[in-house]
Amino acid sequence: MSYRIEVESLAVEIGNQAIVTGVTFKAKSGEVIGIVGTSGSGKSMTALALTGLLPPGARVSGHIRLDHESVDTRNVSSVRGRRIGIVFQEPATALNPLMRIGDQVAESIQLHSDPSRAGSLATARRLLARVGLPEALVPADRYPHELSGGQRQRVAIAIALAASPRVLIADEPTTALDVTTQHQILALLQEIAAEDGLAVILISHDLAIIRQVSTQIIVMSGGRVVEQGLTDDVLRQPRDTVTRELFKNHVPPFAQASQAIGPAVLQAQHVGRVRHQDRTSRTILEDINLRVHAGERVGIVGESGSGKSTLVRILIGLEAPDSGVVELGGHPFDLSNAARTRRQRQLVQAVFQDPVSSLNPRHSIEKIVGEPLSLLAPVVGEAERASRIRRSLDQVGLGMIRLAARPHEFSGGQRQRIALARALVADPQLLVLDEAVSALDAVTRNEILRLILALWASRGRGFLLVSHDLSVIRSVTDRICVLAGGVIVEEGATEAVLSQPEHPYTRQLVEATPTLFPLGTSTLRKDHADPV
Amino acid sequence: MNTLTRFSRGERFGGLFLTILMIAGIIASLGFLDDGVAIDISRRLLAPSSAHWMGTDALGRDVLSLICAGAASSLGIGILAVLLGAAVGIPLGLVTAAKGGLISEAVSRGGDLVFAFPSLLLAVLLTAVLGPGAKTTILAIAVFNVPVFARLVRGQCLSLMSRDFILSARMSNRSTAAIAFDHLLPNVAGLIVIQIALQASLAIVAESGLSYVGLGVQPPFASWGRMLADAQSLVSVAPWLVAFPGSALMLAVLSFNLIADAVSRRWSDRTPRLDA
Amino acid sequence: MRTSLISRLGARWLRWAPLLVALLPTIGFAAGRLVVGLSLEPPNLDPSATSAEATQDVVYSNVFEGLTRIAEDGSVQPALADHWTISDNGLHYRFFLRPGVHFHDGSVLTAEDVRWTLDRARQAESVNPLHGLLSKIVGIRPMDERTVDIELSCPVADLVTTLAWGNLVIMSARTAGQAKTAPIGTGPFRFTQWRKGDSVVLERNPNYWGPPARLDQVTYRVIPDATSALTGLLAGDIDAFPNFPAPESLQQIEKDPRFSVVIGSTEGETLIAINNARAPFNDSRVRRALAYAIDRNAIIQGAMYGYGTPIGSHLSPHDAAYLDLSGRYPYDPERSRQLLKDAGYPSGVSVTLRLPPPYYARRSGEIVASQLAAAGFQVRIENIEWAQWLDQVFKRHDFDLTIVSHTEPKDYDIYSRPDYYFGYHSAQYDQRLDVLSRTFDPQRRKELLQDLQRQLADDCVNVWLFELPKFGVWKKHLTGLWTEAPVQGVVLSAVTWDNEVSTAAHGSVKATRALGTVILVAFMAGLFVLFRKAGLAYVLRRLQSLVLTLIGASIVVFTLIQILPGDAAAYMLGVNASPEALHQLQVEFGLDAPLWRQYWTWISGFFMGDLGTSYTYQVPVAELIVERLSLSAPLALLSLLLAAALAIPAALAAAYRPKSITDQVISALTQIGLSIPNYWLALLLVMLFAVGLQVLPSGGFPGWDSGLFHAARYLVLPALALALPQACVLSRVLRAELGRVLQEDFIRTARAKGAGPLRVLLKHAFPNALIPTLTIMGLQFAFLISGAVIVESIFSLPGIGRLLFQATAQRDLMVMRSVVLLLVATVVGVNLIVELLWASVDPRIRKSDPT
Repeated sequence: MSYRIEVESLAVEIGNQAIVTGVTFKAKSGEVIGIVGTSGSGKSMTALALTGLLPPGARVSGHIRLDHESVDTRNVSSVRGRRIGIVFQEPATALNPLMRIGDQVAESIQLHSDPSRAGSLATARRLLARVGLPEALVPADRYPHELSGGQRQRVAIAIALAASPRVLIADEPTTALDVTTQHQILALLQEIAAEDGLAVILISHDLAIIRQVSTQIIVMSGGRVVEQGLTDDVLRQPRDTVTRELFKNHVPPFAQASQAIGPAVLQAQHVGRVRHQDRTSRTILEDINLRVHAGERVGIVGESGSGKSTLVRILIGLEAPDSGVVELGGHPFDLSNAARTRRQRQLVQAVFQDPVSSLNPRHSIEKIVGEPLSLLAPVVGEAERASRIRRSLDQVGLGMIRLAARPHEFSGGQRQRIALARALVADPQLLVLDEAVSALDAVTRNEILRLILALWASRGRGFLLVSHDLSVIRSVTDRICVLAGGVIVEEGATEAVLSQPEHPYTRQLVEATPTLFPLGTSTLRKDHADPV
Repeated sequence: MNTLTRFSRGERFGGLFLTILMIAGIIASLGFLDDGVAIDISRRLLAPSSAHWMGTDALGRDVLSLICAGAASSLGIGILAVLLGAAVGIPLGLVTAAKGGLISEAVSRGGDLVFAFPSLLLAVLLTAVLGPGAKTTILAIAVFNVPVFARLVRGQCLSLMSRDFILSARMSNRSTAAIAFDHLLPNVAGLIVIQIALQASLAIVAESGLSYVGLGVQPPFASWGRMLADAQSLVSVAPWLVAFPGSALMLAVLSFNLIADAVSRRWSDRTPRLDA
Repeated sequence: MRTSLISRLGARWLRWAPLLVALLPTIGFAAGRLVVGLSLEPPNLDPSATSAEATQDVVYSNVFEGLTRIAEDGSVQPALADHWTISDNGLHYRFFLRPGVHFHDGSVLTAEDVRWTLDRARQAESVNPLHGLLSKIVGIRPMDERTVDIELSCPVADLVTTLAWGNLVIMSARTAGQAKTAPIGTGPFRFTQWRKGDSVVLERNPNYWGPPARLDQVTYRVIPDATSALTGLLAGDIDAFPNFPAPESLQQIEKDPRFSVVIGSTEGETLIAINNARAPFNDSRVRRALAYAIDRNAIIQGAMYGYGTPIGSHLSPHDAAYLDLSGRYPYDPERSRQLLKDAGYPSGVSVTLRLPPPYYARRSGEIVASQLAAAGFQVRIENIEWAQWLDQVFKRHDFDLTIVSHTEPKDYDIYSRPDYYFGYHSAQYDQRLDVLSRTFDPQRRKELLQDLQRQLADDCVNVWLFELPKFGVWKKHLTGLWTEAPVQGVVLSAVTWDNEVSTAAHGSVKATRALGTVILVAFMAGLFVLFRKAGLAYVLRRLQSLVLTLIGASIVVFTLIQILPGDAAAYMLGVNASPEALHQLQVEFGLDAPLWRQYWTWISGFFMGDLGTSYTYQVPVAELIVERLSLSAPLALLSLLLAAALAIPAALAAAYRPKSITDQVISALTQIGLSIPNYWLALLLVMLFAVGLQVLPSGGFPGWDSGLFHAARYLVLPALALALPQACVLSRVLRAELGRVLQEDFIRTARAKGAGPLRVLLKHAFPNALIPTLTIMGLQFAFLISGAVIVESIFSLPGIGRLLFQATAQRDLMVMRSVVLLLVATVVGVNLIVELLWASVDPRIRKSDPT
């Protein structure tokens, strides 16, 4: 059998520190090989080592053979582009913003096979059509900013394929994309591997993606390969604890349906929002009706551009709708009524997606967590304030930290806990979680979710979880609203909507969501998840 | 020693030189150098010697004493002008970024307007209106610094305003002013320090330039720019009159630039990228 | 090893140097050409309308002549009148004109021209500075074509002398109107060209009635800056400085075998003027205290380098009636203190010393201040411009002390003028003066004059310091220039070279014009392409904000200039203007209209290209601006291109290997380079290339008409001085931006394609780093066009910055406001172009607003 790529004992050292050791694998033409691991496991370093793009000062050892031809590991850059193509995670920044997409693809061709401009451009157009960007739909003289994220990732793939390489490395190629787009890109990669006879090395943190497309799997942790084999074998019988941990955390914690549901805390009626720009107006939200009761857990699911960020801002009273009314605690928002606004703000707090941007880097933890206490009336005293801050931090499992510490001393998961402590401190009835766990890895995500469920579900307080991740929504909410194009297309009990989606969009969303197990089989889900 | 080694070479040089200049300026303004600064025709145009390390000028004044006295004018005016500009510009930038709306628009238009006036020209016109002197010079330089700081702070704060911790602060019902001064200001403080150092270097060049054309500090107060202007026609007779004040000016500018550079390097090392 | 490499490289370059020098066309002068340095530019060229000495320096006895003239020894000689008779009672003068005298326009000089000239000068609304001296004339009658009678109301002893002065030269009614810009006289030279801010050119009048001038052409170069005067002289650009402005340099010039230094005397009594009308100076004890506090010799040593005769009263030492009263109040600070105490000021007196711009005033002022301080006065120095001096000191008498030189000859009558700024009134002095004016007997006149001098010194009206010397500096081979200056003016009729000098080579005017046109067309075409590329909607949006900014700026400029202190009309007309004349001028310039109308007239004119007429130059402001821009714009462009040409390769080289030795060296060099003030650099460059190596001119600008390459040589040093610091800034900005862009993801993509480091840098990183670089370049261009004032003055370049600077000093409102607005428009316009460039570089900006 002919192997496109054979890697033996690949190792990377920076300074005297081993970053990656003992990576060995072989891939045949048409085969997709998956490398999975949490961040810092060494999977991306492996990809960079294979393409010679490591930071200066890094040393590579081991053997790499392409089509049985040995490649000098210290000079991998000689085969870069020509024999190994690579696609990166961020399609938004991976393309030169000042160059037409056709030229960017053609550049690669000019560098390796056809130096003529006309010839290389023609080839580039063919390649763009090959990756799903036909000239009629997306002309080659477009600039990257005129393309959607998925389209840009297709251009990146075309660039990687331009010099007809033997091997294509895709490093988290779909992490920044919507579920539906992710589905298409993965399909494209599989198709390319099969039809063009390439070996594809797919790197991801998401076990479900690997399972969906790869035949072989390599599990990495701490720079080492901990488990390796045929995907089906490994996933059926994970031997290593790392694999098992990954496997276990793939599914979010499952929550029982809420019991005591009280009166409506938050209510949106006929909410609409229009954005005016350059004399054109675009409808962002249209006739949104939404209600969250005390003690209820509601999810809003939608892909990017669906208007969910705008909706969140309107619901928490940071932005006024163009039409319709939002009522909180029985009264509509009215910023001119300062006393009432203050009482309303006390009812709802929010946790946002980005753990970096949601904490002021110049403030101490004490100041950050204590900020919402200004909402309380009567004003809390020094001692009360200190004890509330402590208690709040205790509840999110950060009882031991220094109050004077600054956010940059903490990891992403810890920062989200701090944000949660801040949301808790003034004891609001409703918590709004705007993609609050999307930026976290699976393990941390599940920890935070468990914490949220423990703190909220038990006390009759409700939350509104906004996310693009169907699996999260599915496991922790009672009720779901599907938002698409600024309209709520489907609404109902979570389980009911997701197992029998009525709207075509919901159906598409459900189908595109990669999973280790077939959806709709709730029994399986409960078997594998930790019930709370 | 320990604290000293923490500083980079640039910072050490810049800090040391500016400290020396400041001390020299203070010594001169306290009157310790009055003898050297006094006019004494009998000792004019002496070349550098052990009695007069940097020689004497056409009126018999000791060049070293004059440079020290000039340091007080140059640094004093430069720093005061920049601080004055910053004191007005920073709150303007903060509030307009936090508040938005018509005021913000008006302030940034006003800034555009000031920027549209070439700076030296603005100083010339102001001096023509107000008459030359240290106060006018400070004012003329400060006026140009106001929009510099307003624009810097506003631009940075606008990008901060979209960040989630501002949303959280608003959820906590913090006022616009509280958000501006409590949340935004600490985050732009480092950039402000860098800008102050850079502007100070520009301001001392501007001060010397204005004094050079006769619009800056007026005699009997010493100024490097005027020393250079006076020295010009003597350059081949007494080259030290051009060399020393010119070098002092250059080194002072260099010092501020080095400090700005070092601070910005630290700032970018220590803080998570604002656009991260 | 390293040093040897550098020296080898150096040696290689040095071999090219002589060739380079040979290639540069050498500048020299034809046998009949002379370049004269002037330290002040004439406000206009009409000697009947201004008291400016610079005007006399150009036209007196050269372009215009009077009935009589003053010779170098101070005697009165026949000029246009070859003889005259005086009636016995001294009330009737008859002048007989020389035959065959023609004006430069070909018309014949007649007695009617004389009548017209003198009648115009003595009428009520006359702006002639000698207006007051003609008050005794009751009638002027032409008797025939070449005879004219003058009738007086009482005898005037020195009428023939007065008629020899420059303000009373004979003009023709037909051409007097254009005298301010294109004078037509009868003299040995005729006017050819005036490049505002740079030079006035005269050429020989072939039809002169007397012995023809020996020189073919005379160029007066305006060099206000003392250093530029010296460097211009040393660099060989200037042949003669009849009034050299820097006594400190004389020693150095004397040592140079190429030059003669000739020190003569002027009619300039330099004095500390005291406001006699204001307390405490109305007390003669306080005035005497001032006099005792002053050490004249120290001032003459310190400010004048020993040149200058000490005087103690108001008459020049070379006058026959001169009395040396300089010992009247010997230097005695103790006595000064005592007098102050006696007058009731035991703790001293606070005084403000207002100093006009001339070097003698500013330099003496500093010493005077330190001497007064030693005697117990608290002195504050205020340096002011001429316009302010005329307005505050001369017109409004708002001053304590000032230092000025009174250069009019025999001007002792000023002490009897009722509203003169000294505030001195003495019935006895007035009476003595009256007697003097009726006295013709020389011996008696001398006695009377000495009485006057004694009285002034006794009353201690002012503190007289010294008679202003005349520093003549010129090339050894030049003869015929005057040593003494008994009258304002630089008389050139007898000046000649005693050797032959090579002729200058000039390029073709056509080539310059063609290049200029090509550049302009290319610019317009580029602008059009940018507009097309950026899209109409984008351009319109930008234009809208541009117009708003301009309207705001115009209001600010208009308001600012309205509140400027200093009366422009008064400055322009000089010290002796009558109120009628002032009013007439205000009407002429529309200054009597309501403000809003003045604003509207200005703005509507601005858009029509009509900017009004300059007060000082008497030419359309638009013409002035275009003339100055033809220097400033190419200079700014040249500097910018030079800066970019240096900065871009440096930044690319540094970014190619971050943190390498190259990177570090470039970083250190640019750090130092951007700390060097450009005017210091300019000074060093002049010393090296113009004075030392003498390969490039030290300053001035001959105009593009003198040939493209020839003119461009004059811009090399200024452009270099302006460009080097800018290049450092640009290089650092670009380097930092390249560093940032090189971290971007798409750079990794490009590397993953297999692109080499050079390709990644040039093709991917550089275009993306260009936007902030373009912004900086836009700012720099705006700065270079307006902020080059100091560099322009070091190189004596007639640029737009200096135009504004001079206009501000002279309160030429018309010029000021339009130049300021134009500069603002330039900044805004450049910003627009930068934004269009952004849009053409970056497709993202084209589609949406950059903010």
